[in-house]
Amino acid sequence: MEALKQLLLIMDNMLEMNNKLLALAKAKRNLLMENNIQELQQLIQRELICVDELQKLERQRISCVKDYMSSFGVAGDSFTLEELLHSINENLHEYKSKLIEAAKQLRDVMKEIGQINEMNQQLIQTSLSYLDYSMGILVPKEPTIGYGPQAGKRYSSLLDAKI
Amino acid sequence: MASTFHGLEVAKRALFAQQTALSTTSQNIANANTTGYTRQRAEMQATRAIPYTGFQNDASPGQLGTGVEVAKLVRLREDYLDVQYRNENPNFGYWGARSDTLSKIEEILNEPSDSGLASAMDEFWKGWQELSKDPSSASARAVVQQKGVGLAETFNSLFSSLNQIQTDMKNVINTKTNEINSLSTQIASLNDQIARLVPNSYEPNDLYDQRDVLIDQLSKLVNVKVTQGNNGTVNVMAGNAVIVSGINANKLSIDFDPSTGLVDPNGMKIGGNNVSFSSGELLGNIEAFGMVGGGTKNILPNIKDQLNEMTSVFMKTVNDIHSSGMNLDNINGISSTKVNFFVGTNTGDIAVNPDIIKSLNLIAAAKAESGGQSSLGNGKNAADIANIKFLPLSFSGATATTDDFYRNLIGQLGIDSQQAQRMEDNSNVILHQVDNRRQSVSGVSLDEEMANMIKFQQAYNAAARVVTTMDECLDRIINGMGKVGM
Repeated sequence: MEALKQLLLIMDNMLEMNNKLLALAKAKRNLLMENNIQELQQLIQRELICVDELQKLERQRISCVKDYMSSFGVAGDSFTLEELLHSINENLHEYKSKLIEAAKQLRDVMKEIGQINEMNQQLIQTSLSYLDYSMGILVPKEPTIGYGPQAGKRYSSLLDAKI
Repeated sequence: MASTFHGLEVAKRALFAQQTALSTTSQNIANANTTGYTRQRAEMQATRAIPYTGFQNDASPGQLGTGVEVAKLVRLREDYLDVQYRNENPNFGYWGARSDTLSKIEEILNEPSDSGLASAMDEFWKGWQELSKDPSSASARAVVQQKGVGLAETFNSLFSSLNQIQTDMKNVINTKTNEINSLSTQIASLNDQIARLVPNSYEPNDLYDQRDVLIDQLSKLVNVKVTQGNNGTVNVMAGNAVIVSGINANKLSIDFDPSTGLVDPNGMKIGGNNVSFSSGELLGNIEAFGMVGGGTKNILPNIKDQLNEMTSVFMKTVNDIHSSGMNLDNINGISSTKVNFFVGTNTGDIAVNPDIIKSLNLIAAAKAESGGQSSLGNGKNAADIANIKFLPLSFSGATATTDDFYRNLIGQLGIDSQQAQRMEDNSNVILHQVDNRRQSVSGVSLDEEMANMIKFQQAYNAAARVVTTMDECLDRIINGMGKVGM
C-alpha cells in the first residue's frame, strides 16, 4: 500500500518533468525557427538537467516496483504496468485506476514530445544542409592523392591543424 | 600625363557613382515591404588607370587612378535557400489538401453524435427489439418502419454529401490546373523579357524577383525543379516533365477516365508527354478525388467503397432474416408472399421497401413454428433482426459486427486526418524556418540601409568638396597665373 502510494508519487513527478520537457521542446522549435544559437545553447543545458532528473525518477520507479513485486514473492528485474496491475488485489482498485490514469497521461505527453523532437530534428537537418552547402562553396575538393584502390579523397578542412 | 581637367573628371565620376549607390539604397528602402523583393547593392569598381603602355608612353609617374564607376547592381539572393524552400513547399500543399478533404469528410460523418449513422443504426435495432416484445402492436410496427426510413435516409444523405465533395474536388482540380497553366505562361513571358535585357549586360533584378515569386507559387501546386538556361532564363520542370522551357510554356492537362470518373494517370500530360507528380497541392487534390489505380491513397473513393460494402452486407443480412420470417399476412393466411425489408443497390439508393411503407402487415416479426404456422404473439424473427447488432458478419477481408466495421472506418479516418494535420503543421514550420533564413539574406534591413545612406551621402559630400577644390585650383591657374602686377 505504501509502495503504491510511493509509486503514484514518482509517476506524478515524472509527469511534471515530462511536461517541463515538452515546454522546452516547444521553445526549442521556436528558437530553431529563428536560428537563435545562444538561447539554444542555454536551453540545451536546461534540457540536460530535466533529462537527468527523469533518469533518477526512472531508477526510483524501477526499484519501487521491484520491492513491491518482491513482497508478493515475484522476482525479476523490471516489471511492466500490466504485470503490476495483475498483482494488485481488488480492494486496492482505486490505486489501480489512478495508476492507469497516470500511465495514460505519461503516454500522451511522451508521444507529443516524440513528435516535436522529430520536428526539431528536421529543422536542424535543413539548417545543417545549408551550412554544409556554404562550407562546400568555401572549401575546394582536393584532387585524389595516390594511385590505385588506396587512393582516397581528402577534404582539406577549413582549419588545417596538426593534432 | 593627366589632362587639365583630370581632377575634375575624377570628382565628377565620384559624384555619379555615389549618387547611383544612393539611388539603389533608396530603392531598397522604398521596397522594404514588397513581397519577394531582394535587396540590391551597387558594386563600385575603380575605372581603368592611365597611362596605358604603348610605343609613345609618357614618363609621368603612373599608373594614376581615374575614378570610380558602378560596375554592377548585385542582387543579394541565396539560390540554395530557394531550392530548400521549393522542396518543402509542395509537401505543405499536399498535406494541406489531404487534411482539408479529410476534415470535410469527418464533418459529414459527424461521429460521435446523436445525428450520425451509428446512432441511427442503434435506433433501428432498438425498434426491432421493441417489436419483438409486442409483435401485434401496430404502433411498434410503425416505429420499426420509421426507424428503417430514418436509417435509409441517413445513408442516402451521407452518400450524397460525399458525392458533392467529390464533384467540388473535381472543380478544384480543374481550377488548379488552370492556375498552373497561367503561372507557367507568366514565367515564360518573364523569361522572354529577361532574355532581351541580359545580353545588353543589364541586370533585370525586378523581373528576377517577380519570376521567383511566381515559381514559389507554382512550387506549392506541384513539385518543381529549376535549372538555369541561357541569357538569364530558367527551365522549370513540374514533376518529371518540362513545363517551362525558355520562353515556351507547355500546357498541363488532366483527363478523367470515362468509366469510373476518376483521374486517369495516363491522362495527366504536360505538352503531350505523360507526367507524374510526387508531391504538391494538385496531387493532394487528385488523390482526394480518386485516381485510377490509386489504391489506398484515394480518399473519397475508399470511404465510399467502404460505406457501400457496409450497406450491402447490412442490407443482405437484414433481408435474409426478414424473408425467412412470417409476416402478418402469412400468419392470417391472406397471402404467402414474403418481401425484403430494404431495397436498393448501394448507400445512395437504399430505401425501405415501398410495399412495407404501404402495409405494415408485411413486416415479418414472427418465426415459423412447427408445422409452418405461427401466431400473432411470436416475435422471434424481430428478435433475430435486433440481434444482428451483435452478429459477426463477413466483410471482405474481415469478420466483424456492423458496429465494429463502422467504428474502424471512423477510427481510421480520424487517424489519417490527424496525421495529415500534423504533417501540414510540420511543413509549415520548416517553410517558416527557411523563409526566415531567406529574409535574413535578401530582406531589407532599414538600419543597414540608413547606415549605407550616411556612407554614400558623406562620400558624395567629400566628392563635392573635391570639385570645389579643383575649381579653386583651376580658377587660380586660369585667372591668376601670369598676371604679374595686375
